[in-house]
Order: sequence, then C-alpha cells, then structure tokens
Amino acid sequence: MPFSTVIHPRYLTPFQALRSLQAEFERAFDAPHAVPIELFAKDDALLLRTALPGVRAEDVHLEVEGDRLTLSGAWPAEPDEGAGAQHVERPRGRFRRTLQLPFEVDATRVQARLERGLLVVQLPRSEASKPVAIPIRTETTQNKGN
Amino acid sequence: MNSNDQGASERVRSVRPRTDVFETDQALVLVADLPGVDEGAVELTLTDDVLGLRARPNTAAPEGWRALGPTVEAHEFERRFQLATEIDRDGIEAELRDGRLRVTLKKRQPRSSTIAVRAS
Repeated sequence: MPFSTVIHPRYLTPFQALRSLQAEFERAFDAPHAVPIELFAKDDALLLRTALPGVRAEDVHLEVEGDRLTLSGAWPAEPDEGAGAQHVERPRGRFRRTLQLPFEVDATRVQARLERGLLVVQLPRSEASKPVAIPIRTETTQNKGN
Repeated sequence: MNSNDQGASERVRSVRPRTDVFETDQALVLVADLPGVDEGAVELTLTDDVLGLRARPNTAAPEGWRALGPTVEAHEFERRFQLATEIDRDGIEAELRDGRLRVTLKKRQPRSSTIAVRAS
C-alpha cells in the first residue's frame, strides 16, 4: 500500500498531495495491485468474492483454465482527476490475482456479477473433475451377465 | 445511547474507508470506497465543520457455502472529516453507486455587495 495505514483526516497541503499523487501514479504503472479474494466452496461449485468498488463490468477480466483462475482489470480513471486532489487514498491502476482452485471448473458455466462494489463469481465444477462412484462388482452381479 | 436496530449487539471492528478528496472552486468532493454497503446503510452527518460518515457493509458469508481460507471480518466503516472550507449546508449531495460514495459539498460563496459611499 502506498500510504501508511494511519490515515489522517486532515488534508495534506497541496504540494504534499501532488508529490504523493505523483508517486501513486508511478506505482500504478509498475506492479498491478493484488486484491484480496474470498473463496467459498460447495461440493460441486466454487464462489469467489472480492471488493472492487467503482469498477464496472467492462473493467474486469476473468480467465479460467482448468483449475486456475486469473482475475485482472483496472480501476477506472476518476472524472475528478483534473480537479485539485487534496488527498488520495483509493487504489488506482491495474489489479491482478491468480488463484489455484481446489478443483477444475467448467469455464462455460461461470456466472459473475457486480453488486455494491463486490464482484461475485460462481464457478461450477467441471463434469470431468467430479468424483465418480465406482461400482464394485461382486460374483452375483457378474453372473447376471452385466 | 443508540441501540442496535438488528437486536444483536455485537461489537464490530471500525474501519476507515479509503477516501479521496478533491477540490474545485465551487465544491469539495469526497469519494469513499464502501464495498458491500447498501444505500440504506449509509449515515452521513454534518456537525459544525465535521462531516461524519458511518456505513455497515454486508460481509456475511454466502449461505450454504464453506470458506476456503480467510474471509472478510465483520466491520463497520467509520470516518470523520474536518472540513477546512466553509460549506453551504443546503448544497450537499451524496450518491452511492457500485460501492462508492460520492459526496459533493458546495462551498459557501462569499457574499459581496457593493456599498454606496455617500459624500457628506
């Protein structure tokens, strides 16, 4: 995080704000932010939840390949960027996170929605990765000519 | 002393929402990130020159799912802003969209009037 966790409610002087804004932009062009992600599971599906306030659907990319998921995107530029920035704390630039999932998911049936600044993604387990109950043959079933 | 509307009086952690502050000639604009917060759950107050913000997000785990790894702890957003500029108290607008609260506070425009000088 570019700013310390102690956030002062008073405004920075315009010069201080400009300097830290500069540093913030520079950092935004370096490594993308790693956003925290909550992961939930059921037997046949996964649910992922992450906070992305202010982000629109077109700003987010979800890539699923087998049991790996990559979430990436960027926070949209503020319309107020031109105005005097007194104090800047909210994240800017790109974000990216890759997750190893506990099982393979079906990329064609992934559902994602954005609500209240939260991205919620439901990923059904792929058929191929579902555990299959293997029937145990006994002598009697064999005799039935199965 | 307020009593919790929900009935259960659990103490939740207080979190300062990340907020940007912009200033134009006309207004101060505050943009605060409040992910998981419903419109009805934001409390915005102006007392003298202090703007108070309080909001409770819905952080409950989705029903029927088990958590794999750390989850977001229940918390409440709370922050107070000392306003350094004179604000027109009738010119405050607040909008919550996509978990982002935008508060526009129009500055109190200086009232100037021409004073006629009479020659005596």
